Amino acid sequence: MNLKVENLSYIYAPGTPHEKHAIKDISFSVESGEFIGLIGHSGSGKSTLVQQLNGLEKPTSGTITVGDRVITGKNADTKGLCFEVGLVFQYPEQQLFAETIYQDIAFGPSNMGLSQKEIDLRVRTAMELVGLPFSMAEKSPFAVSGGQKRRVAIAGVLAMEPGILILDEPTAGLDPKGRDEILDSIRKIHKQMGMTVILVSHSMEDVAKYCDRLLVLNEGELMLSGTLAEVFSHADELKKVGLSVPQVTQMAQKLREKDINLPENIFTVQDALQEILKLRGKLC
Amino acid sequence: MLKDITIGQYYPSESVVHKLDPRLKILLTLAYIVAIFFIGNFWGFLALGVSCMLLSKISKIPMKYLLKSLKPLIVLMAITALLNLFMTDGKVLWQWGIFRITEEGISMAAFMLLRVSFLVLGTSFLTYTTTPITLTAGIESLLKPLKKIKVPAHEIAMMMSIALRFIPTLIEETDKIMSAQKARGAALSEGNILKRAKALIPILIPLFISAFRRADELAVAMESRCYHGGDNRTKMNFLRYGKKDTVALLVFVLVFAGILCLNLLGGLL
Repeated sequence: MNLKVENLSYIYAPGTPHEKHAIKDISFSVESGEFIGLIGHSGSGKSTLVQQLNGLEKPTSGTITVGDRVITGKNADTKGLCFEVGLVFQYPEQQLFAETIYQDIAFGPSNMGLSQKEIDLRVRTAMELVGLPFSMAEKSPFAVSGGQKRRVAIAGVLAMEPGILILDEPTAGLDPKGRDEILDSIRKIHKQMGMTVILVSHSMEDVAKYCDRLLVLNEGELMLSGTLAEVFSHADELKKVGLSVPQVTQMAQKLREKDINLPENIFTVQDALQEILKLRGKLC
Repeated sequence: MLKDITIGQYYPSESVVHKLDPRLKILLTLAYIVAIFFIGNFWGFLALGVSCMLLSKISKIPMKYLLKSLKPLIVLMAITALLNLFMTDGKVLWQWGIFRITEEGISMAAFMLLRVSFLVLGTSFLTYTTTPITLTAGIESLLKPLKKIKVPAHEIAMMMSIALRFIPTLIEETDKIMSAQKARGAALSEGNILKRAKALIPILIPLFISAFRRADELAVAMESRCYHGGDNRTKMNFLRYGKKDTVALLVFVLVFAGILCLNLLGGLL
């Protein structure tokens, strides 16, 4: 499912002393099946932006187009939009509530009014996608490990089979192994289901490894957008707003300064390995 | 929607009222609550309304914001008014089966409505103009004499400040959980009462879990800093009763004397 955002603005609590211009005139579009990274430091408006994409908050002004649906202004009808744009919140395991993992994952689909058979199928599919064995279905979601809790929560959103999946820092607070597992499952879901994925992240390494294109937010404005190479070529500007480029990109830059002939488009350790091997091949 | 709950929330502003001694403000609020019950006619309430508007100007808290504090009490107020409307004996104006409206009932209902509104409105000045920390410092200081009869003043104040401190946190948390469940299609404001009550389960359970977790974390954090009760504990900020407090006290007494006089006069008319 594709997504288009035009001149979107959002003012939080207008008319009170807490008034804040959280989103300022943002426009971008996402094609169906893309894997987009949304980066920006804390308070840059990422969370506010994604909550508008799935209809939880309504834009102060501007237009959001999701598939065939057009959402304009305060009175827009956003009912059912959350089933089309699935949003996984930060620390999603904090929203678990049901007695069993099965019931918790079934919450979304049953709110959609699906048949029992369809719900059952979706719960099974979602559990498989996030790598949870179905034998765990009758366990309490509070009795499993932190990483597994998070998978349960992600499965709860996946089970609604949204056309666009947005994940707000899905790896926050996980250990390296848990992080890789979650991100690998997301990549698998993206490939298998053809979902459009928007990954909100702090980690340049993560977005470099998984995303096709990046959006950079700073103080509510869209500062940069483009392919990895386009965005990461602005290393200095990124540093100014508290972001950065992947460490391996920084390392390649340092090596280039020492006259080692590495190309500029090194964003992951894998890229670096290949380029260095190529270089060594030339030298030997 | 939850953001609209304003009870017990501090409204930051640089006004004289904000800088008054919290002890004075607490005592004046208590006096206000008592005084409100002496007001017996609409002249008194009119004067009270004008005073409240003036106080809102002086303390730089917009009237709109103050009125918002009444919003969560609408149901309570409606029930009070209805009970008074139908349950008061007197000259019958309208009757239908067991329901009847009397002249006395109407004025009684209007009275109760005004009383409750002013009660909330006036007392909300206290929490709007006083930070939770100074508020509890004030309470602790006021409770100090009771220590002689073994009232744990410091502990009470500490519990209160923790409770107050967590109101915004828990509201924020509730908001977050509500958003998360709404993102999964939870219908929170649809259907009959039973359905709505059921819809609360996915919100309340995560909220309780997180409240217990927070309580646990806070206890550990306090223990790791060797916190132990009130004995020999010193304070960073002392409360000082100053000239402006005396002035405020005088103004309050004068205004209320005025209001009560008007009330008496109005009663005679």
